[in-house]
Amino acid sequence: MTDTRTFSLSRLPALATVGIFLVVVVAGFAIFAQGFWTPNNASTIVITASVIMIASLGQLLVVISGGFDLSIGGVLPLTAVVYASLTTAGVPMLAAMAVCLAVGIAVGLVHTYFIVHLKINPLITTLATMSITAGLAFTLANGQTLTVPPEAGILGDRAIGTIPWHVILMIVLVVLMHLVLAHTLLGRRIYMVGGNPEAARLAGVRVTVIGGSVYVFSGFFAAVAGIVTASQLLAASGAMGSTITMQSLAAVVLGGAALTGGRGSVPGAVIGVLLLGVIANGMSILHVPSFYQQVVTGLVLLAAVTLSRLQERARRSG
Amino acid sequence: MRKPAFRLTAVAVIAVAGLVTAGCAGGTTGGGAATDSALASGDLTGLNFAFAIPTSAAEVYVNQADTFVKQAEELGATVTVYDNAGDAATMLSNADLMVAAAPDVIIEFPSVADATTRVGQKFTDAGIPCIAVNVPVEGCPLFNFDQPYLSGLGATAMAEQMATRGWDASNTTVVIGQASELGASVNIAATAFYAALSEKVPGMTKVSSDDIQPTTTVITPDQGLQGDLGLTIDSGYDATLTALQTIPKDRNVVIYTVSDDTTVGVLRALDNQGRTAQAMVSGYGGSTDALSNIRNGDVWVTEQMGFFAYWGEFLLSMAAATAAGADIPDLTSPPMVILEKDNVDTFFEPGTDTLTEMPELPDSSKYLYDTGILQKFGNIAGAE
Repeated sequence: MTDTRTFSLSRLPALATVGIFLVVVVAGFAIFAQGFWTPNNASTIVITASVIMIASLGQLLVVISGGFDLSIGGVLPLTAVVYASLTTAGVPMLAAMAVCLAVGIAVGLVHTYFIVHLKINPLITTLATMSITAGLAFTLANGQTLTVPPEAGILGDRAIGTIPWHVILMIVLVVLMHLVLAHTLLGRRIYMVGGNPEAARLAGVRVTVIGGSVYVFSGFFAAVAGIVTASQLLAASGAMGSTITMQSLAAVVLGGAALTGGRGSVPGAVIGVLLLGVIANGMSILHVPSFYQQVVTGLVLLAAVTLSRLQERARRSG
Repeated sequence: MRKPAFRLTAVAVIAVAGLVTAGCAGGTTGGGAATDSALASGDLTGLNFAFAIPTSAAEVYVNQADTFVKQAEELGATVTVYDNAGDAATMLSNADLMVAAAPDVIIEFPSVADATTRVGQKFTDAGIPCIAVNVPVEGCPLFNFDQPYLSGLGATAMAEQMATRGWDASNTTVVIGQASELGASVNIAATAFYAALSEKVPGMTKVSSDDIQPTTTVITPDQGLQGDLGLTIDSGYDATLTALQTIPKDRNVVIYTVSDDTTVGVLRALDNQGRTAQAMVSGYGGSTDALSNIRNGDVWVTEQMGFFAYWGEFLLSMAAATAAGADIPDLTSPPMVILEKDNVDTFFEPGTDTLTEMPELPDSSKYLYDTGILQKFGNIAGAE
């Protein structure tokens, strides 16, 4: 028996489709953008994508569980400012990092209370906390740009070649989160809660605990992103990370996560982040004006989501 | 039964906290008007000003507003500060609030250029004298840098630095960074800098400021690029990392930005790519970072300085002159100078960012001396 079925895009996993798209985009830029296909530029893409990747890990967990977290755009500058303030005041680097992580986790716990226990819509809740945390960042910094002592910027220092330590940290976090999502009970339960919370409850899953834990993770990762940003730039201000929320959401959706919950993966988010980073980098190297870059990025996002939806429909009907 | 009560209490606490926060953040208001004779002596007792700042999200604007309020209060005036929050809708709403408060003079520092026509109409319709800051507003005299003049000074200083190091068009690429969100009235600083530099650096293809459009990316192949470096540290860092990929490593790089925060990001990107030895950057604003880097480093070599943080006293003088019915020119400018390693301590106490004395005002702005206000602060040449 030979398989006489013709090739159909709908038979490909969504992740593979986006992956192929990434390869095509990389190949296109490698051919047409002089200076794109170099090790140094590859490291540049990874360096600039690192903060978005870390923030996207938290966003991914929340999206898989059926919610989303807009507060990342406030937690990042808040923790960056806290980190700068503490390290400038002479607090040891590790202690300052611990305080920042505690701030991120605290914001996550607040989300847990309002979203999971009070059943308030995540859009409203995280919009409110984004405003609060961003406002606190500006207040704490007094509207100024704070400097970070060089000795507290180790994460931004070079580790291998031009690759800084925060890229190594990002890779470690990516691997860990992939293992958690794909190979642990917690990961499976997050998918269950996002896919069908009622079925998850009937199966004995503590939906409130799982649903709340993802916001704590998200706050944690946003805090890590804040520490990394402050270390990378040796400075912090309330104006940092203004686009991080939209970028992290776009990346996880590009990577195949469904805003309705129950679907998404760490490899998908990695591809999504890289796709956004490659497009921005390639267009800059081609000297495409920034206004057009925004248009192209939006079109790519729209195309990827449409393709994913069409694949899903084709699978259901076929 | 306890849960609903607890939730109601939580809601009430949040609401009260919000109201208290708003109350604490509120401004001060006042009324009345000073006499002309009082103005000549720099006494602003009884005058009431409204001051709308572009956003409280950037250090420079907050510092400027703080200085303005402090100085106005020292002279007896009252000020209400409004935050335009970086968007046109808030700017329009603030314009209505300011008109309703009926101050003696409105000082409008637009967050975006979009709403300036409508806002200017509101002030004109209400018959309240106004001053536009940095961005033109219809019907309001403008206080701003003379951008082409200041950029010309900056280009001259940078050309001299390049000549000292043997840099010219054959071995150097010039990158000008615009901040697309600020619009043409600010980004002309970057294009005017490039245009003036192209006149002074041997081998550079001459271009005019008008030839460099917001969508221009390659000004002259190999010699000149324009990028959107934004206004923040992270945007400057990311954009510079990418821009450096298009410039061969054997070429020197000169980078010009319109914001010191951006310049900090540019420095970090140059450091990451190991290209600081072949780079010179020019900042804008005179921040603490700028002064420190110019004194102690060899990369951040020039700073376009219009003493932005001290605009308060000039705006105060202009507002006083406006309230007194003086004839105000279309453009009033602050003192302007290029800071470099050898002159930074002329204007600031050595090793600090404490101002000693600003240079004289340009001719078109010398009417500000007549209000007697600048003499009160004793920090500008020509006001003795």
